[in-house]
Amino acid sequence: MGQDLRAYLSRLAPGVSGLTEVDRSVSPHDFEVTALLKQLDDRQKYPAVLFKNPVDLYNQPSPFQILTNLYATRSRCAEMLGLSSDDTRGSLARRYARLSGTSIAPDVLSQDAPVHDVIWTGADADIGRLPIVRHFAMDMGPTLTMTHVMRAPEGHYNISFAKTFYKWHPSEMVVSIHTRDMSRIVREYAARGEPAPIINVLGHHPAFHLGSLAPNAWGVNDYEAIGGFLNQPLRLAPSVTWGDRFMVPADAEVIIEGEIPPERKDVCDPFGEVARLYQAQCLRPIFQVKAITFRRNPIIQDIFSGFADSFPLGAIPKEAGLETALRPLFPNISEIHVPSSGCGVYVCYISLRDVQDGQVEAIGQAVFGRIGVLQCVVVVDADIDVFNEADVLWAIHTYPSLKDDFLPLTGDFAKHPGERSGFGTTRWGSKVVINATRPRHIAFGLRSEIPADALARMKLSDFMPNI
Amino acid sequence: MERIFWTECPSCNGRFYCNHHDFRQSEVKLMCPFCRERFSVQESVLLDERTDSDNDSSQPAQQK
Repeated sequence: MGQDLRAYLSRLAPGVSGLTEVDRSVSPHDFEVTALLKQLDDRQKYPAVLFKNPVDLYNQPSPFQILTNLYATRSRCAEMLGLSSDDTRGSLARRYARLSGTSIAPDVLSQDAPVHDVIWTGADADIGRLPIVRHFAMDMGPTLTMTHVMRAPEGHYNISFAKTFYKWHPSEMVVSIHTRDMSRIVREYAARGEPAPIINVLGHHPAFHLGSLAPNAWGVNDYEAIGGFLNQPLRLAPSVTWGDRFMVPADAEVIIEGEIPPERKDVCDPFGEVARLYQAQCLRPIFQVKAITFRRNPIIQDIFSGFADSFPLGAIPKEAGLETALRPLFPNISEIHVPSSGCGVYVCYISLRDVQDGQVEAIGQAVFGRIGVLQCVVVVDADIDVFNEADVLWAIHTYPSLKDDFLPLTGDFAKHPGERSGFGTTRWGSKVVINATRPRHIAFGLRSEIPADALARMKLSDFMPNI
Repeated sequence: MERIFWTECPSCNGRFYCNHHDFRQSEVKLMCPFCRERFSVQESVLLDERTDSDNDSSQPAQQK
C-alpha cells in the first residue's frame, strides 16, 4: 500500500492541535471556509480542518470533503517528514535538505489505482461539481491551490504548486503557471504547436506536496524525488487521458487531467497570495479539463494562503536551501529561520557564534545569491533565539546603529529587488542586511540574564504545577 | 516591484488592480472580480498607475 492522505489523517489526534472535523454544511465559494479559518487564526488555534459536507459550485451537496490548514504548524510538518513533533527548529530544515537529495524510483500499477475508483469524462467532467474555496474578498473567484504535474517533452515529470482559477465554465479554467521549469515546459509544447498535458493533484500524503517545493534542477524526475520524501516508491498509474504517456499518482485523492492549448491565455487573479497581498490581475494559460478522477469518499486539499497554513511551505524549503549552501561557508552559523512574520517569503534570521568582522554582509550576499525572493536578512548573536521573534526584534531595536548597521545591498540586487514580485516583494528598493549583533567595537551594555544554575534548579512545575 | 494599476469597474464600481505589462497597452479586456463584467482599460471609471519614480506621484488618481 502506498503512502496516502487518509493514512496520514488517521494518525492525527482529534482536536485543536490535530484534526478538527466540521459536520455542518458550508459553502466554500461564499467565503464560509476562510471565514472560519480566520477566526481560528485570531485565536491562534491551528488545527487541520476537515469540512465533511461542503456544497459544490452549483450549491448542491457534494461527495467531496475539503481539508485545509494542514500545514499551519511546524510540528505537523515535522511529523509529515518522519520527525517528532518537537523537531520544529533547524532539524526540520536539515531533514528537508536531506530528503531533497534522496531519490526513489516509482512503482507502476497496471490496474486498481485508488484514484481511478471514480472517473468522470466528457460532460460529467464538470468543474462546477467540485466544492472550491473562494478565499478572499477581492479574489477573482473560487480557486484551487494545490500541486500540478507536467511532463516535459524530454520525458521527465515536474511537480509544483500553482493556482487554478474557476472561470464559470464546466471544462475550462486558467492555471497560474509561474515556476521557471513549468513555464519552460509550456513554451516547449507551444513551440511544437501541441497542447501541454497537465494534471492538478488535489490531495495526497502531505509529504508529496511538501516535496514538490524542493527546487530540483531541470531534468530531474520529480516523481523519483517525491519518493525520497515519502520514504518509499511513489505509486503511479497510467492516466485516463494519455495512458502510459503520462503517469499519475495512483494514491492521490482527486486528479483533474487537462491540457494547456498553445498560445491561449485568459485573465486570472486577483488572489490573496502567500505574502498577504493580492496578486494583480494578469494573463495566464487556459487549462482545458479532460477528466476528473477520484477515490471513494474523496478529499480535496486547499491552502489558506497568506496565513499560517502557507508560511511553512515557503519557509522550510528556504531554510533547507540555506542550511545546505551556507553552513560550509560559515561554520559558526548557529541557527537559520525564515519567520512567519515575513510570510515565509521576505525575511531570514540567522544567528552566529563569535561573529567575525565583515561576516554579516557576506552572509547577506550569500543568502540573496541563493534565494532571490528573500528581501531582508537579520543577523544576530547565538544567544538570540531566531525562532522567538520577540527576541530577534529586541536585538534589532537594541544593537544596530541606523547609520551603519542597516546595509542595503546594491548592484544586481538593487536592480531587481522584487524580481519575482506579485508575491515576495517589499517597497524597500533593495535587499537589506541588518546587523543586529551586539557591538564589539565600542564599549556597550550587556543583556541581562538569570544565572543558568538557578534556571536549572528552579523547576516551574515544582512551584506552579497548574501552569 | 511589479508595476500595477488600480482600476474601477464601470458596471459595479468595484476596485481592483492589474498587471501593467499585461493590460495597460493591450486590447485584452479586464474582468471585474466582483461582478465578472469584462471591460477595456479605457472604460475604467478610475485609473491609478502612480509609481515611486513618477515626478508627480503626489497627484491624486485620475478620474475619468
